[in-house]
Amino acid sequence: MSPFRDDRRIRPAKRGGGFEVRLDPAERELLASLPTQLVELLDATAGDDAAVAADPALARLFPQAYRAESEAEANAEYHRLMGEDLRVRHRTALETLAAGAALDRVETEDLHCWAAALTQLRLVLGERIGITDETDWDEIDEGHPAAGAYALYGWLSWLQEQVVESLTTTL
Amino acid sequence: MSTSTPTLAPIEVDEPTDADKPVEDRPWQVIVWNDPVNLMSYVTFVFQKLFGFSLEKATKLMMDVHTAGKAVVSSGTRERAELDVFRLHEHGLWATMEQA
Repeated sequence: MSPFRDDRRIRPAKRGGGFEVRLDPAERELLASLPTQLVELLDATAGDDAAVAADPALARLFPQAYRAESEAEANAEYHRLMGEDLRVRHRTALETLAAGAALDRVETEDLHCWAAALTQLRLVLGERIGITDETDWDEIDEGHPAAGAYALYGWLSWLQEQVVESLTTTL
Repeated sequence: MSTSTPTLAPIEVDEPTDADKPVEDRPWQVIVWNDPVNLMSYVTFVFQKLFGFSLEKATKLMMDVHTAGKAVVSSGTRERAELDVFRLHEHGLWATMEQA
């Protein structure tokens, strides 16, 4: 392993605070388009609890607050009171990532949004391609029908690790 | 002024446990559940960020989630627990709340 880890896309700036972003054009395009697509999905299902519940990927972004079946009423109340706030927070994080995709430097506050937004993208994509604790990455070769989606998931995970590592230096 | 003060015999008290309390008085616990997507480093980071835990404590709780499937990360009033659940949901973690 290179001690310089120069392939990192996000890392603390050497001077001036904030974080350096070094992405190639194709990566920037993805980081602009993926969050925008998810924002569109969030907007299309705003206020529609049945539509959110019916889509396991979307449901993962709006989890139940109470686990027991006897708490169905409390869950409905939680979603009624907090659902719109949660949607707005998710949306803000995604838009901050999409806007930041064009930049060479991001501030700490915005990188926190990147971390949350990358998590959302990974949760949704992970649910769509069926990531489990038993997923065997050795079986996902180029011939796999969902190879592209798995590669995208892996790339988002790799970026997320760098964002987390960078933010951990600010705690 | 007397040099000796009367001493009170220690009173034996059975410390009440949560199970002895009426339901409405039992604290609410916030539980984070294992999921196959969130990175171990990210879960540790979120615990530090939201609850101000040390790296050691956050790492231990993350490992509890990872190996035992869940961990209690905070407890308190219903309102406090609901806010913590919301903040965890905002960060994409799978959190629920229940009474102890």
